[in-house]
Amino acid sequence: MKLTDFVVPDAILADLKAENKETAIREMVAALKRCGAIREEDEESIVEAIMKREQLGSTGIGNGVAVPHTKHPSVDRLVCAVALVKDGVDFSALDNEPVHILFLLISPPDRPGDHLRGLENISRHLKNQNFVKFFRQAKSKDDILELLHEADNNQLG
Amino acid sequence: MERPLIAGNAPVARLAPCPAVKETMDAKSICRQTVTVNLKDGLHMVPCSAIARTAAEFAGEVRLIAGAKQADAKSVMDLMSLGADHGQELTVEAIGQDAEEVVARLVHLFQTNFANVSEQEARDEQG
Repeated sequence: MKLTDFVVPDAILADLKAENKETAIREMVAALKRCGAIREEDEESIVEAIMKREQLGSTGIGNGVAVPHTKHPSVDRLVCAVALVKDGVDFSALDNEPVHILFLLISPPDRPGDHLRGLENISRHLKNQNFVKFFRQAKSKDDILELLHEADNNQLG
Repeated sequence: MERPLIAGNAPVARLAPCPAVKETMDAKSICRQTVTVNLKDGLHMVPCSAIARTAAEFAGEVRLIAGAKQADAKSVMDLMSLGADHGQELTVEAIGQDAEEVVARLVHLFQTNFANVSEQEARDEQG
């Protein structure tokens, strides 16, 4: 599985302004709604499920990265919104540092393997300091999409 | 051999005897034991966080090894990058003082199928 298999290009937000965790999550879910990856009537339920998951423990996993996620029956395949928050947002991350890079995952409850592969894939690339550095430097949606393709093709060293 | 109570791990009255492999090299204790991932959804973020929290209490090195891949057990990101599925065998390895204790505690998490973590997760179906 590649990043570009599940990241929805029109749900890439290259300059997300978010005051807090919930605002960031709401904006990312709204981006998925705007491009038709989720239905409008499911938007609030998805936001609530993601926020409920955050109560189990922050998905801010350190190094300026967060991977908020949920399983939700309204999707029939793994979908992902991506955001860069240049000023950073407090996510109560494990290392208490602000989060700049977000991957928001929604997966069908009956496809746990896809969810695991998505997390594996995102984590593997986020361990690459070049990937993180170039992501933080991105200025547009196209910059991020190009970076995702390069990561998929192992062109980042 | 009965093992002592471990502070901060209240639900665990006693840990089972640890059949882990122990070595001593240059005054460093190395302990490793094989576990199986029995979580139906594999080793996703919630159990990875539980592993990292436990490993972080240990001063030495702690690793999970899955075939050719290995992860720093103190890093959630590293652990998730293993992508360990249900049924996969992993080796838990610790190096340093108290290596045996941290391996026993991590093995216990796997053997109890991350019980405290998974109950809430099962209710919420969040992953």
